[in-house]
Amino acid sequence: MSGVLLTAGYDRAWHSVLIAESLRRQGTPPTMILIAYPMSLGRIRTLLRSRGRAAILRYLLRRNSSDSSRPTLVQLEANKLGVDSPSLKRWAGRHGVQVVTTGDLNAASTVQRVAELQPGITAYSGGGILRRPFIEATGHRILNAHSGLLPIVRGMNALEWSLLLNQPTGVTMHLIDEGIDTGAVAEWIPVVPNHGDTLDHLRERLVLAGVQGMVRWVSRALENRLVTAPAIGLRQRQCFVVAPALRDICERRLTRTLAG
Amino acid sequence: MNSPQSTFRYAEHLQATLGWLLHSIEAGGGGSSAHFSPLRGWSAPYPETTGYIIPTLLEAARTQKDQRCQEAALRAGQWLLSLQCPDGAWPGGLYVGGKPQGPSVFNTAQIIDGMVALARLQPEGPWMQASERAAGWLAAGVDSAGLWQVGNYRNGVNPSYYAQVAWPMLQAWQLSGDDAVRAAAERVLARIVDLRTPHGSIAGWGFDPGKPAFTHTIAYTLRGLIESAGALENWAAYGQPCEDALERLWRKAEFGNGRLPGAFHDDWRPVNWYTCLTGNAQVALCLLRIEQRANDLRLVNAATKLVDSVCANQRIRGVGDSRRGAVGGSAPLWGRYMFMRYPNWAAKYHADALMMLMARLEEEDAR
Repeated sequence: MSGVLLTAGYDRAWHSVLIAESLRRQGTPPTMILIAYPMSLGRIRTLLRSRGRAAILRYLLRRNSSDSSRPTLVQLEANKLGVDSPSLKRWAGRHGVQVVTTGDLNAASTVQRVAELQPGITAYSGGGILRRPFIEATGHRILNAHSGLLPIVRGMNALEWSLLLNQPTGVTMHLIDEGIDTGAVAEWIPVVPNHGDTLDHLRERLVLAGVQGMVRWVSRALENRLVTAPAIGLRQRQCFVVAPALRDICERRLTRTLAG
Repeated sequence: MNSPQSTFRYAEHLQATLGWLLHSIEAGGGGSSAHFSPLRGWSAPYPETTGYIIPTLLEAARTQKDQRCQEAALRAGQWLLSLQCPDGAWPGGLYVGGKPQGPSVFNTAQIIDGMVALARLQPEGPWMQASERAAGWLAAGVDSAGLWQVGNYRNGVNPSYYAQVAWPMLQAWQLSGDDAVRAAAERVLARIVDLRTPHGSIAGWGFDPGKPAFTHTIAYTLRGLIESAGALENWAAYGQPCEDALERLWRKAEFGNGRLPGAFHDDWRPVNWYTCLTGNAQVALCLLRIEQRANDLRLVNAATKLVDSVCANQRIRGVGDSRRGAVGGSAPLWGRYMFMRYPNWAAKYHADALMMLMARLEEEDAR
């Protein structure tokens, strides 16, 4: 088993392309990039059910608002490394890396390709929930950067839940297993809110810390220095998308925390 | 400190819902009209639900400083007193003048809920005595197996949602100290807990044995057990048996973004083509109640989504008095539960859920 497999949920993802470029610069570029296209009917249905039409509409409006033209911290970091597009395909084409697109990472044909590749380590940067066959095909070595303290804050909207549950903010580097954020933990990377942070800005800082953690741990894994331990503490209920009323409280809490 | 924006939105829905409930009491001549139908207008008043609307109105009077709610609660209480049978029971069905129906176990218990709330407000009033007589009638009818032979909705059928009968009995016991009432309620609860299936559901919690249960009666069952566990300070016996079902409903509420299937089979296979709005509000209340014990905002999150889904199906502007603030039995309105009607109990549980949720959100925001 050797090489790095990188997964992504979209072609145009700054954090994924930053991971790819950072890995290339440390001499371990991805051997293959697996992109799970979000436009399968199953994913759209899941999104609609879990987030609601209104939340998706709000997201799309925000994406198209003027504020979205502001480069994110991750984008700025990628630009510093000479990456001028968030397209993974474009990056892969430039560096001769194989790209496979699929409607579902768990599809039998995709799992077969992963099993044939026998990656030394898989860096997960999106693509949906992974099922057992995919996990087994990777040799149970899939790294994830989760934006919350495990096992307390597992699931979605981890930053918001960290604030709501009065937990420290940061990123947990861990291995993916069949549960939702229940795999063995490699490292906890604290990211403390700074004066002036908004939820969106703090989230960007978490994503950047996660990218850096991912690159560091891929390197360690390839050197056979991947050390993990089971998450300590009682496994808590899974976190789901934060309801608007609680998001409101979350934002007020962050503002008060930073003001106080 | 200002309240969060969401509180204002919920307050608007609460005001509209309470306005509709007051309107239903006007339409019912003192008792709350059971439902409004766009085709047939207001129905006759319903003693059962008028009973449990009383605590909702009293809580609204207290928290919203709305004197009209207290006046309506007292008026409804007087109307119910006029219907109580000499043996302490209340009749079943809707109240249609001159056509008294036989005594009803379930209706009597829900009216006790209202009498107890009024007795706490006016300890010297007639309410406590009415509640004691009713609870005495219920206790006398329970056999050693925890079953009633008389006063059932369907002859010989004691559904598991009678947990919602045991709870008001225990409320009456808390006021009167009559241990025979407590013992009878415990026999009922023990029988119901024994019906728990390997799936975590409770057999017989629907209207019709063997058919899928509406979330309305599922929530009756769970709420009855939760509240009884609290009254008896015995979570292990009556609360724990609900935990699997509540966890499932919590997850299903999250996965459905606040929309639960309208009914479930005992093995949790859903009936998904409609949602039962009153059931959604009732499940939200169950989650908020267990959250008081579990202290886990993740439960509040699901409850918030359930309440939001009911709000999304409620018109609070641009419609007439009979529709403004009304909550449909189902969404769509032609769903199987209360086809094409706006029942008063859907509004009652929505108001209860809004008040409990608003209080919880304000508490959380103040931390």
